[in-house]
Amino acid sequence: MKSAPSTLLAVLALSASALAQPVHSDKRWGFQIQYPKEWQLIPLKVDEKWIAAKYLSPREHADREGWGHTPMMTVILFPEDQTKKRGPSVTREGNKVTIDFTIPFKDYPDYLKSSMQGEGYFVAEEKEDIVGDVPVRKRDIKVHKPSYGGPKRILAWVYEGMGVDYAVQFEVLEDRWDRMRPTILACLNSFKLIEREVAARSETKERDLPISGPEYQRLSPEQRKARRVQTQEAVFDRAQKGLPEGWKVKRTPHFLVLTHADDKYTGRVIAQAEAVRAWLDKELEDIGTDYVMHGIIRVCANDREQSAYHKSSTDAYSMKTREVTIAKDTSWAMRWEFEWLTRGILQQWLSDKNADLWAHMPTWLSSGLGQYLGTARVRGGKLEFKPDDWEMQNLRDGGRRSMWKKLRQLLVLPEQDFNAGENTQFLPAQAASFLRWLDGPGRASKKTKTLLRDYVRNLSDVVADIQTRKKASAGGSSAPDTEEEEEERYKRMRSEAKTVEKQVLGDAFRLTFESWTDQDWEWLEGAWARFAS
Amino acid sequence: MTGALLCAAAALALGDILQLKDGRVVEGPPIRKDGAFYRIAFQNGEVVVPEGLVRDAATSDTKPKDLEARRKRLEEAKSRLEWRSRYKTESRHFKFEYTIPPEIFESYKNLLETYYDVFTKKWGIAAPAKVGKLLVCIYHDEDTFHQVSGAPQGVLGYFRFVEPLELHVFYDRRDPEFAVDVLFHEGNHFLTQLIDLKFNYPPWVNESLAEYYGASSWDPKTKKMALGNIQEGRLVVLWDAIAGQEMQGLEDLIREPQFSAIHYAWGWSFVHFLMESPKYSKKFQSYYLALSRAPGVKRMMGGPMNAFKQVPTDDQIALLKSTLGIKDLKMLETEWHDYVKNRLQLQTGRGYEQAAQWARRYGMSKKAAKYFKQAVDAGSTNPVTYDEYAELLEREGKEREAIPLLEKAITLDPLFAQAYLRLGRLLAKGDSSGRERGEKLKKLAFEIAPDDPYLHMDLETAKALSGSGK
Repeated sequence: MKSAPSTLLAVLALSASALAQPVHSDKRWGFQIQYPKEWQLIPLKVDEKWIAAKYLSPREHADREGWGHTPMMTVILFPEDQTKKRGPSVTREGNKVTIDFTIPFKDYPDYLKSSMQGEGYFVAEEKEDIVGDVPVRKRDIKVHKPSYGGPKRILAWVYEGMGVDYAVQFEVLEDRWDRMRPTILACLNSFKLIEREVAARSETKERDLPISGPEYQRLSPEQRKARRVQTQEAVFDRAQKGLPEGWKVKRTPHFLVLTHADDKYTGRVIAQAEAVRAWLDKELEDIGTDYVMHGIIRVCANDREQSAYHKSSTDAYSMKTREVTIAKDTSWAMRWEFEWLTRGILQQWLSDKNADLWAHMPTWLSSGLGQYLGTARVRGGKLEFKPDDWEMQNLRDGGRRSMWKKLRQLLVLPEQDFNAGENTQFLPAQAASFLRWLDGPGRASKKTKTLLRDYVRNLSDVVADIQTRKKASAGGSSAPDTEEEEEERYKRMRSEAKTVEKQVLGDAFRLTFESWTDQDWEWLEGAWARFAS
Repeated sequence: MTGALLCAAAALALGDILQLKDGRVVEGPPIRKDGAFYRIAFQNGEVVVPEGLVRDAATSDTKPKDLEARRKRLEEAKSRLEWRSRYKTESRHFKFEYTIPPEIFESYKNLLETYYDVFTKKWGIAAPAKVGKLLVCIYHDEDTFHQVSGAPQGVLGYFRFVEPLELHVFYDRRDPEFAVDVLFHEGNHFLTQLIDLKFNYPPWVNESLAEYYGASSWDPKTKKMALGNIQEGRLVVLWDAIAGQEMQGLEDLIREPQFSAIHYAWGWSFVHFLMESPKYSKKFQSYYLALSRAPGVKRMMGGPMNAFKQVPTDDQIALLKSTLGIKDLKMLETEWHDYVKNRLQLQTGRGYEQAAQWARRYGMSKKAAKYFKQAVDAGSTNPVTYDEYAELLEREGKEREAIPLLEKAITLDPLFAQAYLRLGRLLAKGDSSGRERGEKLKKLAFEIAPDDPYLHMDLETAKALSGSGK
């Protein structure tokens, strides 16, 4: 099925004297329906396949415990050519059998089950009716155990069209139901089928072309870059289509920014994103040669809009968009949208630049880097690195409770131990603090001036070596003949990840620190401990 | 005479309907009674259901005087599968809402009341006066459980420990013992909360004791429960961890803030070790009660809304050492690891099933076949076990051995679409009569479960592998 009919979508805000509510009209799918006055159209995910429109109320309501909820209207389409599929697709090419587990929704209840995961609900009433001359199935759904906040009500009417079913659902707090009911019913009763315009199919090839994995790796560096650029531009093109009124598009050197916030805030977001990207390009340039795709940064005006944007079909997520979404105004006590933005850019950068390295990165480094870079803020076009309260608190508590590891231990600590018991609370702060020292006071010493770069370069070499050997030994073993052989193979396989992790940690450490003496280590432990204290 | 004919005609117009004892309803194809069986005539073949599996049926050959009442009962039973029409009832200590057949429910109700009495007596617990009856919701399948209770995927049951207190479980028709396990586990959270409503046990002891009690067995006839059994599913997880050289440190387990599936397995084994050990059993029970009750134990406020008393981890460890009379956790850890490696063993056919599935998951087909055989020899009544065993044999080219297993799976569950598909595929490889029957069975599978994605995947994969796929 195609994505939402953005190019042909026309929102006709008719005058109040003609109609009580404005009308959403969709010629491509052939329907129109009123939506409540002042409700705002929400952008759809780039790869949304089911939802045709979302409208959000301008008003947030509080439940009895003070949790906020904003009423929302969603139009979901179920074209017959998609919904009749009942199982995964299986294809075979030579000896390779591929199973695509994406199973399209078969109807509205199926969609609801998927989109309401974690929310306890049941259909309280269900009946068939006619609206105009369109058959409709009406469902009154009680969300009696929401994931948070008070009970909600969903009124969903599914209109039966020619070859497509149109579901329109309104979600409101149970407490607000009586007050909103007349408006909602007026909208639902206004549904009409209109003449469909046949849109030209424009299925883009990039959807099928892998931008990572073995098939992608077989391409030459130039082909890989071309593939990623092609994908990126196709995604950007789709992302800009159908953007609701009031949203702006800005193309920066490394990002496509879609913003519903003011220029000043958007400017701050862009400055942060570009500064992070510049830092990564400079400081970690040696770790790989692959092209790092440009990503989408979507800046919502507020957290309600952001949350409505994320309420998409469960199959609307795509890694190809390289998208990070943040909101300008939030009701949260803690502001961490810039950290979220930065961590998102970091992860995408690392996985694009060197996917193998990213997959094998030692936990101390991935955790420390996330915290170190995540808390950096741009000032005057440059990043300023300062620990946040969480890091300071855990660093202090870790020191007080002797939870710090010796750096010599930390750098070879497997993931399981890094995350064991209370380590998970204290070691991320210690790892970030060590990186902070390396990138700060540590630069003044000849011994540690290029330590991080050296370590990462060595790490990259170790991972590349492991991958080469893995490829060379692939497909070499025969099927076991006995239960004992079978068990041996299982044990090897079961411990393989651990063996590889141990090798990565050990070899990167050895290559980086092979000339270090006990005195050097003593000096490093002392220098960092003084810095951390 | 005229009246009877009218009734029969009405029945025909309304269609035949049958409900199995596990709650499933068959409606649509013609159904007729034939001695001790019901025969359901699908377009591609007949499904034979032994009378013993049927809860109720209204068919064209039902006695006219019974027909209307039966149909009414069946319509009601069908409607009860919708949460809006659920059953509601109460017992001494519990309020129940459920969509399972009342005959199955009765056993679970008795289990919870027995459990309440046994546990509160053994642990010397008197329920606080302000505790009302606990609401227990029992769903007829896993999908409905997730949908109505809001439990995320991966959660198999839950006890809501803040007001309003609630317990949610589901019935697995192919493994009825599963609901028993979950009721014993989640029920334990409720019963231990009665010690002090405002006390939060740390996860390593809370979940682990619940797992220990979760392995209890229940005899619905004598209404008796038995403690101290092996959590065989957890034991299999431990085998896997041991093979992966992932032994769990005791202090790390105690200090673990995020208790995941692997911690449940280690935690259960630790409590099993303590509870079954003459040296530690009584001391551990004292420790458990001391955490919430003993004077002089440091307790701080924490948990949801900061409304619960909790013992800081360092104090939990100090109290554990002093109560058990040990100086070093490492020594206790060694004893516990030895116990896990050398003393814990599978006990039941159900355990062999779980072991077989674990071996199969990791490509150990020979080991899986061995465990499947042990499960079958132990008299497994789970049709999935026979089907999965047959799949394994089919892969090894032992198709003749697979066929009787699939026939047994179908006997145990005459509506088991996957088994019809597999049997059909095997028969279709044979002579011309086998081929004809096989093709019909494959079609029958899709008639029984037209929306089953696994069925579609199975067929498509078989097609692709045989070269007739895309």
